[in-house]
This record gives sequence, structure tokens and C-alpha cells, in this order.
Amino acid sequence: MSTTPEFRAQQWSAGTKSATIGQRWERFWLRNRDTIQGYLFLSPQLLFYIAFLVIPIFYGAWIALHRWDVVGTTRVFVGLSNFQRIPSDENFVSSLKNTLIFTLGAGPMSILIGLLVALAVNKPYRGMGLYRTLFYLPSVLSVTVVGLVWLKVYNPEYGILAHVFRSLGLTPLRWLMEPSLAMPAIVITSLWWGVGFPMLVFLAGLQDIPQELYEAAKLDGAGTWALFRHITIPGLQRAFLFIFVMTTLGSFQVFGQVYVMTGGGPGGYTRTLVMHVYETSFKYWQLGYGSAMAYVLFFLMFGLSLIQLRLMTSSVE
Amino acid sequence: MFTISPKRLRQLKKFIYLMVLSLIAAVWMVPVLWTVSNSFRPEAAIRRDSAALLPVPFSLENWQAMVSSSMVPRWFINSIVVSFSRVALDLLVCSLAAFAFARIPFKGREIVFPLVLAGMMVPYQATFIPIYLMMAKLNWLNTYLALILPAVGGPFGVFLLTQFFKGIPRELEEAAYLDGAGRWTVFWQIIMPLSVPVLTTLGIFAFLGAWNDFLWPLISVTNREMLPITVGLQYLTTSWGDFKHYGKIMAAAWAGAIPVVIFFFFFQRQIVRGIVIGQR
Repeated sequence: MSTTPEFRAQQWSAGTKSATIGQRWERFWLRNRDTIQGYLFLSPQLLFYIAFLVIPIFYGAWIALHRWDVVGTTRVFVGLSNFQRIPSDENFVSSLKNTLIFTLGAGPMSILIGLLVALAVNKPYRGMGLYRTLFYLPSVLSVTVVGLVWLKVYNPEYGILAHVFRSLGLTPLRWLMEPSLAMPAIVITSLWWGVGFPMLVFLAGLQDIPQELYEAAKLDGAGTWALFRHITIPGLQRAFLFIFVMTTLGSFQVFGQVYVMTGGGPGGYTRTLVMHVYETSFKYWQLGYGSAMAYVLFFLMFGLSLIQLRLMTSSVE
Repeated sequence: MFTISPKRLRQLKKFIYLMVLSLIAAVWMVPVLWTVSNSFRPEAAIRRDSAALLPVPFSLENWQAMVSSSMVPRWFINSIVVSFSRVALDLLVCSLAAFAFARIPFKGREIVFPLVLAGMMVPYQATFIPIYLMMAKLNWLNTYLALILPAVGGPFGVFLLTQFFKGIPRELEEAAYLDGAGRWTVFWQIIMPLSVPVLTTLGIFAFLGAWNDFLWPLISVTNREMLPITVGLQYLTTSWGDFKHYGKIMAAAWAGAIPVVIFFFFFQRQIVRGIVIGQR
């Protein structure tokens, strides 16, 4: 029945007794053919994986144990002192705080808006695909395009928001220059940019809820709110978890919007963790300290990354 | 007496619903509409009235100036080269590995597969400093190699393709093996052609990721000639950042978005499906 290479190998080796070197090699090849071919097919990926993931992880730890300065190329082993320096680094503490503020702002809002938009476009009317497209469109744009567009939108003199404010008789806000407004402005931009993802995940979740559940509940006299509360919300549980994990992980790595729109300002009020790691490493060239902070970021995200991995790999069965 | 039939009422409700939804969608699109429109208006007109949402008076001068007097065309080509090489290489490397995991019972498979998947947990912010130093040592900074190689063979692609390959019925391959075909033939002539849909999905996301990549090119390329457009645009703000060049910088920004927008409209269905694959 089966003529797979494995089977042919067994047949071959069973039929031979004494052997010359050539035959021995032939037998070795046939017996280990799967392993040899397996690793041959795997080798390109394994090469990339080792070069750009395994080695960097260990190399990064090694760098973090040094005072590693590219400009003067000093490289002094300093043990854990880079890590010890972190808690007393004011910029680290404030950038951690800013990252948490961003996460707490953008996370729940993207879940809420994503759900609302998904519910809004999840109607049996014609043309709903168009709305889905429009709300998702910003997500394919690069962070630079989004940043440049919103820089103009927020401009207090000629930005479109300023025009709206003025036409309502209000004084335009100086969004990106005001310490209290800069981070909310970044959050708004990020929501506009990224809400397509939760919307699509929620839409898929909504379409997975069996329609019969709703019909049966309606027969029992359930109202719209009861249907939503007892069927829709529980039916979206997995979607909620998935989006929560993905947006939180994404928020922890926020960088581009800030880099393009405020450069971390005003007064460091939008400096995020990745921004701080970037500046430390590639503006002040303290690669050892930057690497130590990158490690801390990695560990902060570890628990969520683990859940993400499980969610993604348990899913496609 | 004025009465409305239930059918009429339903239609009216639907009409109001669509109007409200359209209004929200229109507001959502204002930043796009406003900036695209202004890229097609003369700078003088923008200075007079920057609130216009329509490209009146229409002019191509900003786009022409952007093409002729900036490095945007060069950056655009860099991005095309880098993105397409990354996608091609990524799909090939991931498929080869996935074929091994899905079809070849090699020794150690049960150990290597989870190890590769665990790579999904490592954010690239955790590895970009060591990769930068490695690239510096190899003298690959400011080359296409630095922009292409580090993102190739990602664990998620391997995982997705492995799952897909496992789902392909084995009967087809067994017939080929009976005819004396080797694994390479089976991979190229049976598995790959049958996997076009999933390869497309993966390729689209790889392309969007490559085109929009920001942090890595920002640090690995300092030579302006070698910048991809996403980072190049950022450099433009130093010369065109002020209001005088509003139209030109928006022309440049949207020029940089053309490929992804085209991709998006072409492959909408695959993108939606890809996101769904990610979560189910």
C-alpha cells in the first residue's frame, strides 16, 4: 500500500545481508534518508533562525553586560551594572510610565471602537464591505505616512482640526506641543491607524456565533441588550482575549508614531520605552545599556508573549 | 391620519442607519481625503485656504516637483527591491522548512518544531542591537542585504505553512512516489502549486511588513541613497517640513503609500482571511 520513501528504505535494508562499502553507504543513506533530507529542507530556515534570532539573543545578553560604546569602541565588562542602573534612570521610569499610559489609553479604546465598528458593519445590508474596507484602509499605511498625515491634521494653524475648532468658535489646540495633549494625540492617531485589526477579528468572531442562538433567544422574548449581553459578548470571548494580547504587545512596542510626530517631546512626555532604547543606543551610542533595557522590555512582555504563542498555535487545528 | 407601513418603517430605519454610518466613515476618511487633495493643489492655493477637502484648483506641480527634485523615486525603488526580495526569500525558506515539518519524519522533529515556534515570542526590539552590531561587523550596514535578510524565515510563516501542508491529502504524493519521484519533485510540483492561496496570504503580510518596516531601516541605513521610502520620508521633513512645502510632502507621503494601497484593494479578501487565520 504505502510506497513512501520510509517504507522503501525498510524493504531495502531487510533484503540485504552482507554488504560492500558501497552497499553499506547505500543502506546508511536509505535508513537515514528522512533525517538527512529533513534537515536539508530545513537548513535554510534554520540558518536564518540561528543567525538572526538565536545568536542575537545570546549576543544581546553579552552586550548588556558591557559598557559598549560604538563611537569610541570601548568595551568594558561591567557585569550587571547596566541592569542596576535602570531603576534610577529617570528617563527609563518616565518612558515606562508613558508606555503604560499609551497602553491603557490605546488598548481599551481599540477594543471598544473595534467592537462598535464591527457591530455597525455586521449587517446584512448591501455595501457593508465598502465600510469594512474604509475602516481597515489606514492599517496598511506605513507609520511614516500616518505620522506625516496626522502632523498636518494636528497643526494648530492650518490643520484640518484647527479649522474645525475655529468654525465652532473655539481656539485650536496645540495638540503635539502641549504636555497634557501630546500623548492623547498619539493615542488618537494610533487608534485611527490600527482599529481595522480588532474590527476584522471581531467581525470574524461575530460571524462564528450561530444565528440559531439569537433566534431561539428571541422566541423566549429576549431584548436586544439581553441578546448582546448573553450571546454576543460570551461568543466573542476568544476574540477579546486575542485582541487584548495583541494590542497590549503592540502598545508596549510603540515607537514609529512617536518618532515621526513628536520625537518624544514635548519635554519627554511622549518618550516611550522603545524610543528610549533607540535614543540610548543610536543617538548616545550606549549600546550596552540600551541592550540591557531591551532585555527588560522583552521580560516585561514575556507573559503576554507566551499567551500569544499559545493562542496562535492552538488555533489553526 | 399619517401612518407608515412596517415595511416602509424598516426601509426608513435602514436609510437612517446607512446615512449615519456613511457620515462616520466619511469623517474617518477626512485625514486621507484632505491630505491627498492638498497634494494636488498648488502650494499658493494651500496657503490661501488650507481647509479644502477637494483638489481645487487641480494641479500636478507638487507631484512633479517631488519626482524631479527629491530622492523619493530612488527610495521607492529601494523599497520595491527590498520588499519583493524579502517576500520571495521568506516564502521559499518558510515553505522548505514547513515541508520538512509536515511531511518528513526526521529525527529531532518533535524538538526542533516547538523551538522554532518559540521564536514568535521574541519581539524584534529585543534583538535589533545585536543584529546591528553583527551587520556592522560584516560591513553590511547600508546595503540591501541588511534590509532583506534579518526578516526572512519567520516562525509564524513556518507554522502557518506547516499547518496548511499537513492538511493536503497524501494520496497525490503517494502516486508521485510510486512513479519514482523524489521529495524535491513532490515539493515543487505537488505541494507548492496546491498552496498558492496560503502562500498568497502569507506573501501579502510579508510584503506589507517589509514595505512598512521602520525601526530596522532607520538604524541600519544612514546612507540616503540606500533608504527605503518609509524612512526616507522622515528625512524629507527636515527640508520640506514647513508649511511652504505642504503639498510636496503630502505628494511624497502618498507616493510612498501607493503600493500598499494597490495591494490592499487587490488582495482585500486574502488580508481579511489572513487576520482570521491568525486568531482561529
